[in-house]
Amino acid sequence: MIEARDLIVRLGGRPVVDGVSFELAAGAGLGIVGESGSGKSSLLRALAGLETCAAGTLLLDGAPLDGMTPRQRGRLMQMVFQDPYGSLHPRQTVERALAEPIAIHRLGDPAARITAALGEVGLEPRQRYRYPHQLSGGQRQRVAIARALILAPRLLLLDEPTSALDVLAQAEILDLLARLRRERGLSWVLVSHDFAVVARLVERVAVMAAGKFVEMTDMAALRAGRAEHPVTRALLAASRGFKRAG
Amino acid sequence: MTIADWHDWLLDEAPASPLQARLGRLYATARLFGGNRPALLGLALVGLLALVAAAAPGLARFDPDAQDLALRLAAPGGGHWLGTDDLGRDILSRLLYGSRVTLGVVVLIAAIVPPLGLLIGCVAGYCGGVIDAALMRTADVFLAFPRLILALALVAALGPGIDHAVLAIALAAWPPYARLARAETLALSGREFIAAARLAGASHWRLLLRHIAPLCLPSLLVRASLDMAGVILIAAGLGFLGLGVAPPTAEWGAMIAAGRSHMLDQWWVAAAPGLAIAAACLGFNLLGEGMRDALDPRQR
Amino acid sequence: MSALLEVDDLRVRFGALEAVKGVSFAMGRERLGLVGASGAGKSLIGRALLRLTPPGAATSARRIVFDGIDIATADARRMRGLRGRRIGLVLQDPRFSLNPVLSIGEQIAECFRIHRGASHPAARAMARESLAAVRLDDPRVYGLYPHQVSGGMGQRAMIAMMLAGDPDLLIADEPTSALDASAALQVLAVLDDLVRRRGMGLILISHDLDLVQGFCDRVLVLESGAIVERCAAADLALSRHPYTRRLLAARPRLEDAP
Repeated sequence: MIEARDLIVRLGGRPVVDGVSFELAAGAGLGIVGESGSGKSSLLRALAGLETCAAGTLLLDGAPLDGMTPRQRGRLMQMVFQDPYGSLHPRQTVERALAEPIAIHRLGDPAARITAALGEVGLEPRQRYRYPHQLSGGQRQRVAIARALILAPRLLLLDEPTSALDVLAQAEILDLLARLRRERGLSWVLVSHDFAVVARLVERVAVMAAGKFVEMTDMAALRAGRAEHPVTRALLAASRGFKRAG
Repeated sequence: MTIADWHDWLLDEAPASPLQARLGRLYATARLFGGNRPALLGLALVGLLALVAAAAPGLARFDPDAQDLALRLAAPGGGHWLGTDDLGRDILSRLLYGSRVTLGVVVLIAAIVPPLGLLIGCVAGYCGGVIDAALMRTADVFLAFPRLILALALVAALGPGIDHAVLAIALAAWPPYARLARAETLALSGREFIAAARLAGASHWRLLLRHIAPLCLPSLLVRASLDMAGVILIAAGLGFLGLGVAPPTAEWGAMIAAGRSHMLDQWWVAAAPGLAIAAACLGFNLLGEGMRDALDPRQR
Repeated sequence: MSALLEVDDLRVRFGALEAVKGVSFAMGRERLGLVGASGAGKSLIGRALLRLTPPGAATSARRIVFDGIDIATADARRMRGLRGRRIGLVLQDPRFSLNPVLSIGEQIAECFRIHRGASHPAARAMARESLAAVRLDDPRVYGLYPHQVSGGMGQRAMIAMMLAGDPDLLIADEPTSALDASAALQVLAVLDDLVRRRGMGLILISHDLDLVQGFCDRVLVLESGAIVERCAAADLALSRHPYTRRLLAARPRLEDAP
C-alpha cells in the first residue's frame, strides 16, 4: 500500500523527517510512536501529501504520490486529525462537511450516503444539521471519521485521533476505529505518543526520534518489555502511567 | 406558534433542517447583538439615516434647492425648523436630501471595497510567493499615503464629482481590507479543516471561496462598519473642499463649508450638518463595535 | 489534619443548566484528585474556588473556606491577594498561559517582584532557583521565549511561576493532557516533588483515572456535576460504582490486543 524510501521533509530548512523508509502491505497497520517534536506528525502529513518531501520516493498503491490528481488521492487515502475542534469547519453543519467530498467527486445520492455514513460512525440522524460547536469532542471526531470514510478510501492516516478526548470518548473512538477497520479491511498508519493507544489498533510499531525510525518492533515484544532503544524504553515506561516515588 | 415556541425552535440543539440550523445561528447572533445597548443605538442611528434618505422627498417641507434671499440666514424656528443658509435655503430639507449623498457613498463603498479587499487578500494569502508579494507591495504603496490626501489627489486629477469621490475613496480604502483578509487566510490555511478539504480533493477555488472567504467575511464586515465613519468624513471633507458633488446639490460637507464664514453669528448653518455627520459616524461606529462583539468567534 | 479548604454545597449554573450540583468536600495539605469525563464540571469547580468562573455562570455555595478566609464572600481585593499568592492555578496549555513577548525567566522574575517585593537582581536569582526546582536547570532556559520551548518545558515554567507566590494550595487543571507521555511524566515528577517538599495541598483535575490513582491520596469522582464516589486513591481499583468502573475500563492498556 505504501512504499517509502529515504523520505526527507524539511520545515524551515531543518529536516524534521530525516531519511525514513518503510513498507506497508495492503490491509496492514503501522503505528508510529514518538515524543512531540520527533517528526511523526510531519511524516504522516508527508504521506498525505500535505507536506512536500525534499527527497526520497513515496509510492502509494504502486504509483508515485506527487503524480496523482487531488481527486485520485482523495479516493485512495484520507486522514483523521488530532484536534476535532480544528478539523471541522466552524461555520458548516455536519451535513455540509459530509456533503463536500461527495460533491467534489460527483458521487450520486448524497442524502443516502450521508445517512449511511452517520449511522456507520454511531451518530444519530438528528445530529445532521448541527454545527461543530453544538457537538462534543467525541462526536466531532466521529464526524471527522465519517468524512474520511465517505469516499471509501483504502488507506487511512490517523494523527493522534484520540489525544484531545477524555478517556470515555477515547475508548469509544478506539472501538469505533477498530470495528471500521475490521469491516472495511483498511490499511492504516497511526501516529501517537502513547503505546497504550497504539496497542488497541495495530501490531507493528515504528519508534521515531529526531526524524528517524530508531526501532521497528511489534506490540508482543513491547508487552513482554523488550525494547532496544532508550527512547522506546522511556515511552514504554511512560505508557505504564505515573508511579509515585517512595 | 407563540414567541416562546419560535425561540425554542430557533435555539434547538438538534435542528431538523438546514434552514432551521442557519436561522438558529442567525438568531443566536442577533440575540447577542440585541443584548448590547450601544450597538442597538448604532443600529437605530444607521436605520434612521437609511429611512431619512429613502423618505427625503416626503419628509422635506421645502425644496432643498429653492432659494429665498429675503429669508437668508434665518434663525431656527418658525417655518424653518433648523433655519436657512446664506442663500435662504431650508437647512433641514438640505440635511434630509444630503443624507442621500452620504448614504449613497457609504453603500457604494461598502459594495466595492470589502469584496475587493477580500478577493485580493485571500488570493495573496492563499497563493503566497510572487503573487502575494506583488499584491501586498501594491497595497503598501496605497497605504503609504494618508487616505484623505490620496483621495484629494485622485479627485483633483479626475475632476470633482461624486462618482470620482467614490472611486477615490475606494482606491484609498481597499489595502487595509486586503491585509486583514490576507492575515486571516494565512492563519486559516494552516488549520486542519482546510487540510481535510484539500485531502477530499477540493480545488483551489473551492477552498478559497467556500472555506476560507466565508470565515474572513465577518471581520471584514466589522471593519467595514467601523470604517464607514472615516468614509463619511472623507466624503464630507471632499465636499467641504468643493471636490464632492457639484452645487447646488445638498451635501453635508459642502453645507459646512458654506456655513463656515457665518460660524460665529449664524452657528446653526454649520452646526446642523456637523451634528448630522457626527451622528452618522457615531451610528456606524457603535454598529461596528456591536457587530464585532456578536460576530467575533472568540467570544463563542 | 486541620482543613485547608472546606467546600460546602458549591453550585454553578449557566441559565437553566446546573453544571455543578451541590459539591461538598474538605481537604488538608494533601493531594486530592477530581476525576470525571469532560463536561462533568470538574474544571468549573477548580475555577469557582478562585472565583474565576466564565461570564454567564452563576456560582453559589453555602460556604467555601480556605485557611479561615471565606472565599464565597471575600471582596475583589482579598481575592487578588489569594489568587497566585495563596492558591496557585496551573492550566492545561502553557502556550495560552505564558506571555509570548517576555522571556520565561523574566516572567518568573516579575512574579517574584510582585509577590515578594524582591529587587530586580534578587528576583532574577529567585527565578533561576525556581526554574531549577522544576528541573529546568539549563541556564539557557531563562532567556528563552515561550514559543521556543516544548510543551513540557512550558508547563514546568508555569509551575515555576506559581512557586513565586509560595502557595499553600495548587490547583492543577489537566496539567499534562496537552503533553506527550514522557513530558507528562516529567511534569508530574516535578509536581510530586514540590508538593512533598513544600507540604502544599494539591487539587489535581483530570479525566485520567490512572494518573489520579498514581498521584493522589484521595479521589472524588464526578459525574455530570455531582460527586458520585469519594475514596482513597489506593482503593479506586476496588470501586463498585458503575461510573468509576466505566472510567477505569476505558483507559487503554498496553495489554489490549487490536
